[in-house]
Amino acid sequence: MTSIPNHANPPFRHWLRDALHPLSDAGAWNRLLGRVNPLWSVTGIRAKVVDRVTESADTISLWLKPSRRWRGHAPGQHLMLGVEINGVLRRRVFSVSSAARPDRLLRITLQRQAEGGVTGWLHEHAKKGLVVEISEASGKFLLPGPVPDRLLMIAGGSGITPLLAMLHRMADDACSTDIVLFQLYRHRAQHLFAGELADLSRRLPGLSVHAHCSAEHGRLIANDLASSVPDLGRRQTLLCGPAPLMEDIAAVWAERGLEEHLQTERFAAPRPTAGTGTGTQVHALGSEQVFTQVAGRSLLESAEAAGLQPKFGCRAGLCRTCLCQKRSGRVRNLLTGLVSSQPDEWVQLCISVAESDLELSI
Amino acid sequence: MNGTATRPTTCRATALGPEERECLAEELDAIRTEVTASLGERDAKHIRRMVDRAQASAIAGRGLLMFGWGPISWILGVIALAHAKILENMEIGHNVMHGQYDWMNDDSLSSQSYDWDIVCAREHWLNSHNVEHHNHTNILGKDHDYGYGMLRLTREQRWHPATLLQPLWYLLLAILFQWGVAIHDIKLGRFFKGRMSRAELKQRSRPFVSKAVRQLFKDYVLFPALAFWQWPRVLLGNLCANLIRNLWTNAIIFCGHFTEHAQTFNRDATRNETRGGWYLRQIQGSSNLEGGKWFHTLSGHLSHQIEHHLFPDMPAPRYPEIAPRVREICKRYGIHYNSAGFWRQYGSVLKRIAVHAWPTRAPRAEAA
Repeated sequence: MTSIPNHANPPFRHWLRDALHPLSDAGAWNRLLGRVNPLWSVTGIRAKVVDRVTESADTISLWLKPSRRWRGHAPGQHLMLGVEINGVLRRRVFSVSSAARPDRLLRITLQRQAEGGVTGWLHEHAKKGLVVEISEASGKFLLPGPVPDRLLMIAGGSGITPLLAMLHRMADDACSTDIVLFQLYRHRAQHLFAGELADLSRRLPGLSVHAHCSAEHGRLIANDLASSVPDLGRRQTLLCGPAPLMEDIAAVWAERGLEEHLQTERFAAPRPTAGTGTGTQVHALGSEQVFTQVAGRSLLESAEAAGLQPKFGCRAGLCRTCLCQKRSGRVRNLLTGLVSSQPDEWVQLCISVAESDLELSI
Repeated sequence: MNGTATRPTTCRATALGPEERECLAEELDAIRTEVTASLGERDAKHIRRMVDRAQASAIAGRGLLMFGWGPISWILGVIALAHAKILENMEIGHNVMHGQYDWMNDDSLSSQSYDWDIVCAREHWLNSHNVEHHNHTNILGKDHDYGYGMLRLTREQRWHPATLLQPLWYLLLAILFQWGVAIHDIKLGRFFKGRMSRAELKQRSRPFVSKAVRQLFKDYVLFPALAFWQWPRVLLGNLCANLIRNLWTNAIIFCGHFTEHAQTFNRDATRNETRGGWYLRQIQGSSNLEGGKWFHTLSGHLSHQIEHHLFPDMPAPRYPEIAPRVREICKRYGIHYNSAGFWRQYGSVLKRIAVHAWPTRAPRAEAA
């Protein structure tokens, strides 16, 4: 298993590492150490699954024991989890749904996604003893400090996870904050953590939970939600959920001049907004430019037509000079005809075409 | 004059028409698609096993050289270290830098970052090998790997009195092969012909100088120094391991494109080349070596040069698997599939070097 890179080494270390090769090969040491104890690694952080809990028909929680290298997390933060699926290292970001604990265990909660990938694989293969690669926790979606007197939390579906970590933290601190939590979900079967939230309500006297099932009660309009909270203007709002919900809420809050009070967490990078008409839009993350996939042309030619200058070599799919990382979207390889929509994979610009909107690191 | 030398080696008229070439491309593309779709854990395991094997061998070799005594441990150390270097350069470095394992999304096996244990800088290699050689295989004047700018291997290359000494040049190149490969992409020839400024030469040499210093430091300063009074043993051992690696890689690589029946092409004939034409040229310009599994591994599967040139970014252990199908396709299209044992192929390379040291006549002159 390989490590999730954290940062580049300074040049002199690179030099020394090169000179001492293979003694300095971190990957080799990792494999060697991993044979002794699967949690040991000199570069990455590994974690062992110690328990698996079924939360609903399509959602499970995994309790992980991270190696000592892991520096812990603040409630609301997320981490990158990597697993090797049929020889390919795949990664996905998950919010930590537990607060810091004395036994250093952490919990992630994952809903099975339609396209399979990491969540589908973990649903099928995650069991006690499985070792995965994780990154340090990161993210700025945190409890405001000091904790304000009044909070509004809005969770859509599995967006409850970072908020749950915050609630656990507040309960551990015996916090008396007045918290209104709106928990939105589609079907009754997708109601997550009902028991755990009831338990938290007992430990947090200020917490009131409003569960809203859109299949039974109809879709909750952002405006109605805002109106049902009389002291909205005095509450700090923490929001996490699917993109349409977040956009609706953000619009209503902006209308009421409450942008300052709104804190949000999203996992997908914001989509490029320019020209959502005809043609597939490609977002070049490095140069922050958007260009259009020209029909019958490769991504490389399309980028060049838009004035971008990606590196290139043979322009025939041989040399990989134009290789770049695709963050999201679906591409078709013109040589093999294979279509792929996996996040974070390498694509050759000269023999690829976009089949959906893309994000590329060029 | 020798019979082999007068055989026309340049492809001027090929029997395959444009439609047949297109069909050929379709059949070969189908193999590529099939293999790409089946990549998985098996390939990942293979390359990781190779990395483990190369590293274990390097540690054993360096350990024996540093801490062993007596000639037997020295010889074993040299063999282990040479084996490690050959495996790392051929089966791991060359193949990883072709992007054969990029699909694994593993940074330690990515063509974007891998650097191999040889003096040739990765930047230079990616250009001279992946861009120029693989694209323009055996096109005289465009494939700078053809003869490495110092050997005359076909009648169509210009003869010069100094060419008479080319068996000697070849011996030197084989002994110092990693250095030949390392300075190849600086393109010193252009500088000597006055087509490159001193400033550009300096600029182009930078990756080479930096890599060469690091490699020399490692093999001839650091590891000998770590062995204290045993330093002569380590220094000499490293020198011999590098020499063995140089001779082996040189022999394998020269068998890839310079054997008796490996054809050359000229710029004009390949100007508006189709994909089918490109595939055809890759087959006609390459030659395979036959041998056991260990032989294929130690050659980095360049023993399947034809398959490698058709699909340079396919994981190499797949080449022996698809070889029978490629061979069958060639048979149906009437394309010569150049494959023989190592000694036969290498013998024909040496013969070619010797024959073309003499002023063999160009075919045009013959026609007139």
